[in-house]
Amino acid sequence: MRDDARLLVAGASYAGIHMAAAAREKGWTGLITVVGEEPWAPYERPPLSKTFLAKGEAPEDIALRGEVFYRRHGIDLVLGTRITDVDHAARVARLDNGSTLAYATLGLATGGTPRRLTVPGGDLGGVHYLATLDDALALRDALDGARDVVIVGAGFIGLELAATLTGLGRSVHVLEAGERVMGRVLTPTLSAVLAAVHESHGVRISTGTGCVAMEGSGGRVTGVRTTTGETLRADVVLVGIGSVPRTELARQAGAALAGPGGGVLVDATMRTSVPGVLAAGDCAAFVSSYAPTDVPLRLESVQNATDQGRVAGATAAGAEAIYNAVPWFWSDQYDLKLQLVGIHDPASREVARGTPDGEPFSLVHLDLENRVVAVDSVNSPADHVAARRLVAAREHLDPSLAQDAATPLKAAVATSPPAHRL
Amino acid sequence: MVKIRYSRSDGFTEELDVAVGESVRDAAIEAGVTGIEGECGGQMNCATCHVYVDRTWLGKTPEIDEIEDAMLDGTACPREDNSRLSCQLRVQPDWEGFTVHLPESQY
Repeated sequence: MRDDARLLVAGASYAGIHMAAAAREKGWTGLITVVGEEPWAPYERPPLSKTFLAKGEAPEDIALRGEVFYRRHGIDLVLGTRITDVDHAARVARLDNGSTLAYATLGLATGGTPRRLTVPGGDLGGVHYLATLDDALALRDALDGARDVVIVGAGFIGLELAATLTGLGRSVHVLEAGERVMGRVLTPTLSAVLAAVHESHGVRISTGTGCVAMEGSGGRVTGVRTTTGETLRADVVLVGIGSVPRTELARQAGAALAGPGGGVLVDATMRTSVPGVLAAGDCAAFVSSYAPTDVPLRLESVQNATDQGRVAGATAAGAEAIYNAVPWFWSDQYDLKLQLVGIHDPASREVARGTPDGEPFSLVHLDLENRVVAVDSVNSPADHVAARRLVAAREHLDPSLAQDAATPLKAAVATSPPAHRL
Repeated sequence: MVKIRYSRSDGFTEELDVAVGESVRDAAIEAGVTGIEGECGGQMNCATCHVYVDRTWLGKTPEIDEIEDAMLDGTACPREDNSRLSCQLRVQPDWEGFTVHLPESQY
């Protein structure tokens, strides 16, 4: 095997590992090296905001794959190491340990980094972000002896942490600068449902409220000053206000980005604008056939990272693969199983199945031609599973059948009258 | 430890020693058995740890609950009457030789 026939993958999480494994499975015969910054073997991230905190799991309990998997796939993991720069003309990458790696194909799976809250006191001890296993370990330590927790941002991370920490007996106050919780992914109907569930568990939620400063004493945070002039007591502050894609290596390689602060542009095969450079996962921006517009977007989800990684690996190996998987997301909060499929279209209308204060409950989003573009489900895995197929096939659905919770979604499609099946 | 067999669609069978209480999915992931994914980590959100329980073991596995039943309708390969999500199969002391057949694909 020649050294220059190496697939070099930057990033050792879902997208990177699936890229490496798929490349091998699809026939890449050269070396495969995955370089990951974190010291840990690749791990599952969803538990970090949930069971890892609640049940005190060990890092090995959430391993993404066993060590044998990498050996069998001939994947070299180089952990605790960062690629500092790439010279793509020479096809050489330099690592922070001083060594260099030659490669034939570069796979970027560099993910994102939490958006920082730049307020006075924002770097006090006790102010936490949650993206990595080390973040979760630090948070676990910080929670020991802490009573009051302020969470800045009511997105996936913020609300999952609110649920977990409430379950751990902490007093939780969530600040959200927007008008409602999870406003980026949910319509007002479900935002209200979720907010009510959190409030019923004792979580205080202040929407339309941001953080202007952190107050502290002895280098540790003690409070959060809000845009409404209040100061909330805080032993621990958690910030979950989104992430920014990591695109340094892409820029060095000359790959086009989706505008300033945007992800690495890829086509459906996960090729970037530069031959020999692929990208996948949170760092990649692509045109989704499930989105209402042709504007490149990034999706931050296990599904997207896994499926794009697999396509990128196949492309690296010379196999034909196209990314057209239906986007889906999930979030477990308390005993609520929130499952989302598709991408909302502002022009679509929503049809409710069931009543918002009961379960199961789903919102079916139909476009102007009554095609299913997205379905958001609460404790209704049957609707979710049916919806994956409906959204993939852009099935037409009679709105009156869609709202009949007694008729399973899959049956509703089959019986939608032809007049509605445009 | 209990011996659990994973029989792949290409005819290759792997046998693992699995601790009682561990899930058939987790054991496979740890041991690098290919053909079982479980990208949600065993939370019944993805339906990519689908297996067919060997028919000689039917009736010796725990009941399928409502969530698993719904998610099994979303597997990549067709659902059969012996289909299960392997994240929900926790190994029992009397499962020596318990065999699952892996579908051709999880996607």
